[in-house]
Amino acid sequence: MTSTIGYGSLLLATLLAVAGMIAPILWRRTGRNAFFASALAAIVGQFAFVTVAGLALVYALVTTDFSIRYVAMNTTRATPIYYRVTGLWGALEGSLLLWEWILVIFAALVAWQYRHRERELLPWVLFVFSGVSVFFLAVTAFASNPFETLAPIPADGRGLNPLLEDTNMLTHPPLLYTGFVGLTVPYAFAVAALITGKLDDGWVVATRKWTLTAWFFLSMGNLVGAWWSYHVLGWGGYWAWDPVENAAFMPWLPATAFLHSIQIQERRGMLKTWNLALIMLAFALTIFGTFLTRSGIISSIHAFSSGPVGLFFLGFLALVVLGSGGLLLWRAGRLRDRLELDSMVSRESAFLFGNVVLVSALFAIFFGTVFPLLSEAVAGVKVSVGAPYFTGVTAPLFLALVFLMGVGPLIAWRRASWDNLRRNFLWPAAIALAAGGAFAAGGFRDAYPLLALTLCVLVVAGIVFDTARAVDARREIAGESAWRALATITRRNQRRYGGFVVHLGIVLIVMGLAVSMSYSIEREATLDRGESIDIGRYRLTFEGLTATQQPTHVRVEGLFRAARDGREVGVLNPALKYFPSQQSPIGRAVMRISLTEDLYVILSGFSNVEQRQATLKALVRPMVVWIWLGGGVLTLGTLLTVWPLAARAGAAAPAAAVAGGRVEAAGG
Amino acid sequence: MWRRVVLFVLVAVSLLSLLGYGFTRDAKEIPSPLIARPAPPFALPRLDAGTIALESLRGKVVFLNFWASWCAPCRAEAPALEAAWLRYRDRDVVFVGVDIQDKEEDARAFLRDFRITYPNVRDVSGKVAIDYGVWGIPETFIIDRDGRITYKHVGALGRATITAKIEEALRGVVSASEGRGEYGATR
Amino acid sequence: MLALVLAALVTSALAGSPAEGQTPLDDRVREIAAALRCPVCQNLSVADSPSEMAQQMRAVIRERLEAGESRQEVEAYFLSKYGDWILLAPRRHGFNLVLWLGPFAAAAAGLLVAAYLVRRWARRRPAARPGATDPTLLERVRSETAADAAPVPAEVFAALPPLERERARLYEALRELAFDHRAGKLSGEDYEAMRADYEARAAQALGDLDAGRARDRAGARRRSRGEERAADSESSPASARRRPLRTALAGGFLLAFGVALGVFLVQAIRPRASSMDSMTGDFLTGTGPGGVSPTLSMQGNALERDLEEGRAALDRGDLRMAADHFKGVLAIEPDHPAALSSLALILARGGHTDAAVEAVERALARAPDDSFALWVNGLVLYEAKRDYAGAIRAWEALLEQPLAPDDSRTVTQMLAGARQRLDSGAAAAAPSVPVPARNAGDSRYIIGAVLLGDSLRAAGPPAGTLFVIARRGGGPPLAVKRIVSPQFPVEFSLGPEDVMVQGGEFRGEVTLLARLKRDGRAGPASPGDLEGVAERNPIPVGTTGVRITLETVR
Repeated sequence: MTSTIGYGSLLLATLLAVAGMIAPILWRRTGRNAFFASALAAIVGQFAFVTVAGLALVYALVTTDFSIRYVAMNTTRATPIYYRVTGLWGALEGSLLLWEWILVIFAALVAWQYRHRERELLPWVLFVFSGVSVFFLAVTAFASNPFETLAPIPADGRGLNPLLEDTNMLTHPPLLYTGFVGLTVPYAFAVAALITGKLDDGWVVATRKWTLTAWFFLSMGNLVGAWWSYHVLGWGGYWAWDPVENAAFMPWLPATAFLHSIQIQERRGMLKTWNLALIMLAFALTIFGTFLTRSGIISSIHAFSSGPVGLFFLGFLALVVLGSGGLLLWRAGRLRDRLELDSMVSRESAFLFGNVVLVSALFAIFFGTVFPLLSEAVAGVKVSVGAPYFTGVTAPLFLALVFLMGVGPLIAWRRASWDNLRRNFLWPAAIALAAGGAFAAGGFRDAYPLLALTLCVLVVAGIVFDTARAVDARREIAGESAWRALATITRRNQRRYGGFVVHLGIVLIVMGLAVSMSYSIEREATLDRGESIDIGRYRLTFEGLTATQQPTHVRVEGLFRAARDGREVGVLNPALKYFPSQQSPIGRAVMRISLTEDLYVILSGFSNVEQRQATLKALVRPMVVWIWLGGGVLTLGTLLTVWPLAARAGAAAPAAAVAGGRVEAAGG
Repeated sequence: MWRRVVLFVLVAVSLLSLLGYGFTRDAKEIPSPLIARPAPPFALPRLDAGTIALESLRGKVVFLNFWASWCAPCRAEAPALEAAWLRYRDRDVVFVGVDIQDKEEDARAFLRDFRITYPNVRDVSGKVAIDYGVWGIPETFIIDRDGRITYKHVGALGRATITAKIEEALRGVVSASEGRGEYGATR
Repeated sequence: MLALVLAALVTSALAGSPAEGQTPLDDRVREIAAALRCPVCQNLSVADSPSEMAQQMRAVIRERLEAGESRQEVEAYFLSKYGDWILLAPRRHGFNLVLWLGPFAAAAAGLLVAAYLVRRWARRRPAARPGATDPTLLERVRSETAADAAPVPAEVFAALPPLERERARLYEALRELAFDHRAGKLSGEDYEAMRADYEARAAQALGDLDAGRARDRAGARRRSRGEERAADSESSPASARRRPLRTALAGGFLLAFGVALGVFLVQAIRPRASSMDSMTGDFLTGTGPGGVSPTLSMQGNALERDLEEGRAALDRGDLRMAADHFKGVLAIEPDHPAALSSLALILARGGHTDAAVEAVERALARAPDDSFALWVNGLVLYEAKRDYAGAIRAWEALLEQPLAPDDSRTVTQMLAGARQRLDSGAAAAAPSVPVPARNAGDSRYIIGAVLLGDSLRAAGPPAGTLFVIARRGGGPPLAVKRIVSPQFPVEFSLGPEDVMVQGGEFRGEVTLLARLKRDGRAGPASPGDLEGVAERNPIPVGTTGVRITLETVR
């Protein structure tokens, strides 16, 4: 019953999606408003039916309806309810349904928000949404159907991979998928703008908040993934440069570039083609990401079991790439830039160079991800590309980016003369150099971390100085107190100051990354009872092993007493969990977290419980917490940017406001 | 204008074909550099008694099979291996099983379950497995009379392949490619 | 101050010397392990991976270092065993240089192009129109930008007509300049220079705006949306020329896309033989039968799987599914003996005698010594074709192969039966095909024979249908085997496929009864029917050699 409802809804949604593609075309040909209404209705209909299908699957999962094959493969009777729900995205079929669900939610929201505006663009926006929706629905309904039934009905299911039974499973995939799907919104608008020829800034402004939201979810999704890897997977690292991790990170780079270069488009009317290309690249990369995960062409621990869907994704990717590129080239003649760049040393150029660096980083990561294939195809040699390449190539690029992040806010728009540079950079640069000297004296002798930290201080100093000067200027004009002045300029320039806070978040993340990657200590040893090892400032003493039977697994815990600088700080008990379905045990590492460093202990093995000998791996990783804190600051910054703070009282009549008004779009 | 179009289409199509090429490859596979090379020597203790050293088997074709008791494809292929052993034992062919990443009792139970009669040794430290570049399980190497590896197969073997490859080795022919069957990962 | 606080916080993280208690050997092991990739986890380095193989590899590294090898030598060792793949990042020579240098080349190229473009744009900046700017317009600009009005929402801004938007943009630029100057970011001369420039341009924009408004007020808004759109799309004669071509291309592309989709849809909706069957018939995905791969043969994989699934289906009694699987095996390997023999069995059960004989003969042609093929050959000859001499030959050849003791007992029994049959020259309707020898050792079956009582043997073969019934306790029958026109002694094998109850299990102890019904219908015996019970009831499932002797029912 549930499966019939679910599958039927999917089929109906597919039909509606096809209708949703036809309606805008008919509207364009005949000009009849009825077709416009049809397009809207098609979107609403897709939303309704896909929601029904999604809820049907969730219902089946929660009630462990084992007549549905997907439920039988991904839950058991013993699985807790919240993990049953995560089964929705735990395997291939459900994850496609989730993607589609988020897509129609976005489509419905966009249709709702713009139903009375953007009448020229909206039908084509809905056309693109329906088009993407047709693809995902068709693949879900015909190639990887989550509602496939099983006969005879098994008594119990197979269950989720034990590695996935973790609270992060509740957050990481939905966040990441929302980020991916969110990029469809600006893409749809871009395509609509190209199709209609309305290539002024309308589409950019309309979608700015959507793009920022998608960017935010993408950032959060990646950070939560890193957190999961670090805290749960138990190998002591947070990023392995796994191909699927790269695929999740790659759309973030052009999205970030886009968020910055649209400011140039808004102010100077330049880089229109570049911006269109960026957003199309970002969307194509999200499709590339799902393709990579589901096709099995590159080996990854994240990959779903490969089925025939990989081929369809490749086809869709081809359609997206060739179609978008074709559209862009077709309309290239129409995109006339205003060419208003004053000087090479200006904020515009800083943004431009930043874009180049971001896209170069994207190229580096993309190239590294597909190079194994290329090498096999061209040279016949199978190689693997891993962390040494990625960190080696992206580190200098990201450092350059941090430098530009520091320079950007301080350098003037249009043209920065020597006087201007001297005036703006003197203090921040001096402070940064002083800090650098302090770091070097304090023990940071290696080039990369030292440089990274110095540049981070430059960024922070620059932000502080710029804000202080703006507050002073405001106080001069309006005579407000310092805090009120700060509030006012923030309200008037949300994008700028929100962006500053986001940059601060990035700085924290960069500092955490630079220090933890360069100054981690690692020790591995086999200990008898009572023996200890020293690592950093800590001493770990092995006290014994305990084995317990848990509902789903056997758990062997090692007890380690930790002392820091001679003073005892607690007992750590890393464990090994033996699941009946798994070949090897799953490790559970434990950490002692502080602001300055993490003590990370992994139980690698033991001879046997009676003999009381354990092999452990201990790591001391400094400043990892800063990465997570940076994520929090990033969230605050994004909220600050999008929160509707500007008092609408001032903009009573749009005409009056326009007559002499400041433009909120082009913030300070 | 057309130059741009051509350039774009060229780049896009080559990239997409590269991805399409990826479908014909197995991403997890690690091709072995050992084919046609001399087989690395080893001397390992047998599960019953004694030792087997590879040198002592020079002059015969050696069918070297890496297995473990917890590995399902190993269980699937075991009857075929035993049957092949019975067929070939008086033809200058020796079957040697190497048990890796396993407990001794489990290994013996496996041999009992499948009534294996050919000699099996245990590689406790895993050094011999690494020496042979083992990454999947089961893995089989066929070594010809001169001690050269003529064939490597990752995964479960079927009767036809066993026969064909042993015959090749008896004639001293080196296989053109590696073989693939149902396999699991080592631990 | 801020920086020093940061510095203090960060340096406190580094207190304590890093390498306390670490031996240099540990460091070197970790260094080398961090450059190798773990073959088990495949995306972690050997240093990071918790797997057993990684631990063993680290031990090997340590041993080699202790033996005096250098880092290059250790890495070369692993390279010689696993190939280039084992390195976490490719070596920097040959084709791999494309990888290492590519991004830097791209970045450098990008920066150079950007710098060049910026320079070109900066020089080509459109200057303000020469000539005196209308001072009244300049005044208006100054007065309008002096006030500090509230921001305009971005959406409103975007919705403005172009001239007004241009004016608003320039006003914003002027305000910004003023603010930056006040904030001290711009020096006096910079500010004055740029301000004059932007004021001039704003004045021009104002002038254009006034002129535009006048024009609009003079002429009515004639243009309907259709005309606007028409004007929009027919922007130039050149594009009008290219339009049909583009439409044709688009149409062709969509057609091809639609056809491809249709083909795949049809493939998708066809009933799939097994979960391994993919939509595209495994054409490009390389999985399963017929997969494409010159160097990697995935076929062995699918073949073994199909065989297994076929045998499982046969055990379950699902003959159609089993036949499908075996046909799948034959699609890969046309003369696969086991598949052919199993298929022959299924065909014989279905009554297709000639096809069965042909199949099993093909199997034997391919593998003359295959025990299963010989067994099936004998069965088919014995039952279907009643060629007892042929069956005897087949089974005698079979007995020469190494067999399990249970199997050889069954074969001997069958051989005896065949010899007896040959001698007596009996010819009657074929009894049901007994279960293959595999079941002989299978503990899910009861195997035995039904014999005629001494008094009945002289009377000649009785007519009717034989039912062999198994009951558990006194309840209804658990399993029943029906044998039409039996030839005595009748061998039978009762197993899970004969179970009457859906979901019932054929195990434990059962009581066996055999009944020959003259009317051919199931039910209790009437006078004239024959009936008998097994000699040692109750019988545990798995017993072989059970004997039931029939006597007349009074």
